Amino acid sequence: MFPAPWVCRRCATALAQPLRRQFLRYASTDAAGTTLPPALLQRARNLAAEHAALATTLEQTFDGKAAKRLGELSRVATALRSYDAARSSLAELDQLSRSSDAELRQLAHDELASTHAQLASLATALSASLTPRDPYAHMPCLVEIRPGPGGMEGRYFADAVYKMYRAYCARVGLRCNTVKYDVADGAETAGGGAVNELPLAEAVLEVLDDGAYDLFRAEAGMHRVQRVPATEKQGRTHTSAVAVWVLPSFPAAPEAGGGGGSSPGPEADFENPESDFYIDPKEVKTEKMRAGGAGGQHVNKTESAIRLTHIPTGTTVSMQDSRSQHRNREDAWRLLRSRVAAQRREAQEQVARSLRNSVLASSQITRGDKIRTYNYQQDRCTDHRAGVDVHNLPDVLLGGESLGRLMESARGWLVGRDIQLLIAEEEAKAAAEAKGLGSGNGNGKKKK
Amino acid sequence: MPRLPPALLQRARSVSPDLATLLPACRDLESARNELRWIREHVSAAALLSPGQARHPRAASSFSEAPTAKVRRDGRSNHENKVVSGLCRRRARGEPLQYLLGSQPFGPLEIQCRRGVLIPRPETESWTYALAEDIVARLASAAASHGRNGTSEGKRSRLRIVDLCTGTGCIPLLLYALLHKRFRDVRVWGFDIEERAVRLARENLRYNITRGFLPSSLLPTEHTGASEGGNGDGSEVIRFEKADIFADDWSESITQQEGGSDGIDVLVSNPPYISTKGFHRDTGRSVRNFEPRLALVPRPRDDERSAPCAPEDVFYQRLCEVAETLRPKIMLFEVGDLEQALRVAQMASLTAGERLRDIEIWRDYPDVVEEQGGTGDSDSNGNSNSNSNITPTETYIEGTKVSIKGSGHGRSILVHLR
Repeated sequence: MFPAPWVCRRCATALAQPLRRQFLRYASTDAAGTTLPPALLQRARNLAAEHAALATTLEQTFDGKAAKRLGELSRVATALRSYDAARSSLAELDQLSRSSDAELRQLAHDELASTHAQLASLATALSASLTPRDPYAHMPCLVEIRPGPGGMEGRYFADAVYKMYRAYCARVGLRCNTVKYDVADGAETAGGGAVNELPLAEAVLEVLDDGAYDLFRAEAGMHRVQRVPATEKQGRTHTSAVAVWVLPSFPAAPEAGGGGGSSPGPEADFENPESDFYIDPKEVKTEKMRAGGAGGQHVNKTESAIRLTHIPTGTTVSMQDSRSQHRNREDAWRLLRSRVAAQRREAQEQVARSLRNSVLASSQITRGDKIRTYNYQQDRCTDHRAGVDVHNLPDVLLGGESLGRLMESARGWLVGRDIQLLIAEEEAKAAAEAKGLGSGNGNGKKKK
Repeated sequence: MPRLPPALLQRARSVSPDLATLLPACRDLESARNELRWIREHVSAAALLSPGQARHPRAASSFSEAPTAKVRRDGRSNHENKVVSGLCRRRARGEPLQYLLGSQPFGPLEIQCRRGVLIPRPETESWTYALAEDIVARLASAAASHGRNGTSEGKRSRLRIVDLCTGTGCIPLLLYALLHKRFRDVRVWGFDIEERAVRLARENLRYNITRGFLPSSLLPTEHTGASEGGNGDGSEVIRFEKADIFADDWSESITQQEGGSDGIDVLVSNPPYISTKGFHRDTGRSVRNFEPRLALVPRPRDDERSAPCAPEDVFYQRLCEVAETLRPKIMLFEVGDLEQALRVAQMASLTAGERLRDIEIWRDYPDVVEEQGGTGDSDSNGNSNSNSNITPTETYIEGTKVSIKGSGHGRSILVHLR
């Protein structure tokens, strides 16, 4: 029995149990692991074969479509080549380590460890190259920041989040501009929130650099804050939330970038009805702010607010930040396009998800889920998906190195999730093919 | 003007004293906040420019005094804050923001504004856009029919626009910016009686070229700049002249000078149209006290040659006369309200007589559909049952149907002529 004279029975049973489930952290960036699943490897080989075939045909004749496909596949092909090289060197080292020469064995052994590590990273790279790139990844983006439901505290923190992303852009050297910055009315008691925070109603930050969408895509979701608001008398910690949406956006001047033929697909042109960004002007109701009384020369208005309503989806956008009504109108249209495109995209993903095996549904992050917590008391910022803690909150809020690390880990997690989805899909496909082999090839889902 | 509630002032003061200063001029927190932001942006932008380049003369001189101002935590130096507060105080006294900041965006352009010249209005911007569309639609179709008939003209490539009472020159500049890609040879002239306005319009031309809002091909080559003396830049394509349109020989001289054989295509004007009573009753304080009365209220004319009309309509009468000699195909005049629009429409239809093709009246925002519910082109059917109290969409003048488009007050009248 126990060496101790007496132990409470309940404690004894509790100690005897293995660690509880709830203490385990399941989220992990290591989704792909060291060894690639055979289904994925098979897909890589197929694609590499296609790449080789395309390359030979392109040597004879030029075909724009094929060239584009080749460009897409070359990532996979190179990744697979280096992966294979690492594999073969691993096999060689393996043989060497079994050789009779002790010195050689020792050398091979040392080498083996580093090659293993290399192989792991190559495997991740290969699977990352296999994951379909987000169709909007190359685009600039709009970051929308809105306070969650609840009191003023969320609004003040929304301002902090807005400033955080702006500072981040400034530090990393991304060009950004504030499309919209609406401060909520009311309750502006002195010193509300932390230093220099205003109660934000809505802010839209546009990051103009290409590929910004890919950078910021992992930031979308609920950002939770735990802190003692400046208005709180009893020193209680409040928890509130701020929603961040990341929408793909169009480069401001589409005609300026003309000439370059590399713009891919129908997404590149919002005038194209095929594009997610296409909006029929007939479906949009325009409203202008109208002051009472006579207009024209009689009065001298300085602002020109505009509101657009996309009738089929009920999406509204209002804009009044610029002195120029021309600018306001253009910004409003851009924001509306991005919002509608994001909605359409979400609907498509919903459909795709319901088609998929629902095993992985739990790892889907939707708008409602909290993704990150900023805890002021503990000077901590946690990303819940990647499971990363950062302990320099001021630096995070100033958009410093720590925020970069968080964003990177979230991106890594997102890639890992995509890979998992891909593996599941490939396995499902393989299973279906194996099952359907007898009944002909009727169910083979085409890869897009 | 209703008194501002003290609670509002207090709230504004708790955010920033400057905001409270602005409140009496802006009347509500929302617009005060916007204006404060614009003032701040303007001041920090001016601070970024080197003092020699700063385009706002006042700001330039004051910034040069403080080259090493202390920068506070919010990124603005003390000195900048002082400038901001100063501007806010001037704004509170009713001075228009556009005069303080020195500019007003107008479409893609940035129009310089200065005391003594009317500030461009957003309504004007709206109808200028709509007019540009109309010009393209009308004159492009005319060109198509010409081409079919096999006349010598063939493809239409020539466009002549005359703007009277041009002020800052905003209308001709924007029309040029919108149309120069659609026609091969666009020429635009603006006339104003006020010397300061003409100077400012020329300056605006130059400024918008250097900022890249207008094509740099407009820049003067050596000899054109010199030939016209003070006329200056782009003198062949865009031109601003001082002229009194009531002068007897004026319209003949312009036909000889510019029209050439084919006359002009478009006659535009935003003349003074406010009655003396309206000036005292309806205008905003900052308009009344700071903008030039010359550009707002027509001076009474005592020549008895033409038919009597309301004192605020004298310009339109003269414009119709001018149109008889200039023979434009499209005319557009800005007006004060729907009643005036109807009066002017009548005037235009009487003077044009046989040449009249049709007349439209545009409201403040011609592109905005007024009614609720149905969006598309349901002008004719879906309208009878809904709100009949505010928006008639058509009326009859001298037996011709006149359609009224857009939302807001009656703002401009468009006449198509043969």
